[in-house]
Amino acid sequence: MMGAAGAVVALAFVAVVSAGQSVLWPDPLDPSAFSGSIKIVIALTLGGLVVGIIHTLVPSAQEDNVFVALATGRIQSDAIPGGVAIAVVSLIAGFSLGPEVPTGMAAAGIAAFAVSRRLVRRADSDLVMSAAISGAWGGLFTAPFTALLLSIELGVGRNVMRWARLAADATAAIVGFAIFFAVNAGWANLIRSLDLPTFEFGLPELAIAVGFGVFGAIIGTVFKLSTVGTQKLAAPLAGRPVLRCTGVGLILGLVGMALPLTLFLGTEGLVDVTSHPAELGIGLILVSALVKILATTGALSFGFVGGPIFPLLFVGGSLGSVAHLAIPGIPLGLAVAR
Amino acid sequence: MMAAVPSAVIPVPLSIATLTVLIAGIPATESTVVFAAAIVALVCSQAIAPILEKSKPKPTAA
Repeated sequence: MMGAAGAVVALAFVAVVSAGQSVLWPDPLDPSAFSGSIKIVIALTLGGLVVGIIHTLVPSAQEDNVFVALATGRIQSDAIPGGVAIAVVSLIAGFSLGPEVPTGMAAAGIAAFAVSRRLVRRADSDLVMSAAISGAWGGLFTAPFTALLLSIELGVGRNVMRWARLAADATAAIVGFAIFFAVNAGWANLIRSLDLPTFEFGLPELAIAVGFGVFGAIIGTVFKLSTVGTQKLAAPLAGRPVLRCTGVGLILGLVGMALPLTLFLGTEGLVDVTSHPAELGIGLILVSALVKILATTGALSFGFVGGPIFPLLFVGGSLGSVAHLAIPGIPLGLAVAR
Repeated sequence: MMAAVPSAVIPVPLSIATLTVLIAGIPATESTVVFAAAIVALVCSQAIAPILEKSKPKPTAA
């Protein structure tokens, strides 16, 4: 039941965001540099203004709230509506954020509501919260076992995993996937499959993958440093959310106008980058990937709500394309997917 | 790189690698390199993290 409830709220979230985006952005954006219109600046600035106003009206949850909920079975319930509302506005406006955090947050809110109404035992709060989030993510990622693995990996080190929870998460993730699959609407499918050329597997390819792993760690560290840096920039404006969010909306709008690949969660952009990387060029892809790190960390640090996984997939895939363009001997499929 | 970069930020390499394999449509044998890159990225980022912590300026006593 919790898996189904989690999947339904996730589906509702995706439906609202997709409907909003289809109204605001009816045509796909041209990925080439300086091809964006002034509409991008207006949309992101107004989006920032609305997010700032929401911050002044209601408390809002941060992106790590859902991960805390998975570990502890507790979530700051009163902050969920504000957090989800901010995420809806952020994603419709085109900020570089993914839907995994707000959908998990909304699902956790449903579970918290069930616990508060004594529909389930308080002792099982961690179990139902984890099941609800697994249901949401099983559908959202259209991959139930990815959702189950996420739950297991996030539980590692926190000593919260037990067989009952594992069984509940697995069932919930499959139910969530089944609900998304039954709806079978284009707007519900956020994952875009890539058409990458195959490559031959051998020890050299494994060695290259290890090298990419080390390089990925360096880029991941850049992401963490960018988070710290943007948080420091945002700190003086902590008490002025409208100015803070509108200002960063204007800046990211101007950036998005110059580099449209830095907008949105990145799934469509990744298809563009991997399907014809040579046409876009090594410089544009490299700059877009690095600026997208700033766009995502900046949005999160300045008070927008969303997930980092999808933008990070774009950053990694784009840098893989750059590696392939710089060293053509490295197969595109190997460079992108590692 | 799709698997390596997110795994260095969020310590969930198996989930990220599985998602990458699904998105990129990688066959079973070749998927080994995806998981290898994700795990190496996590291990390296965990190794870098304490170095970054040490390099941060320490707060001076008032």
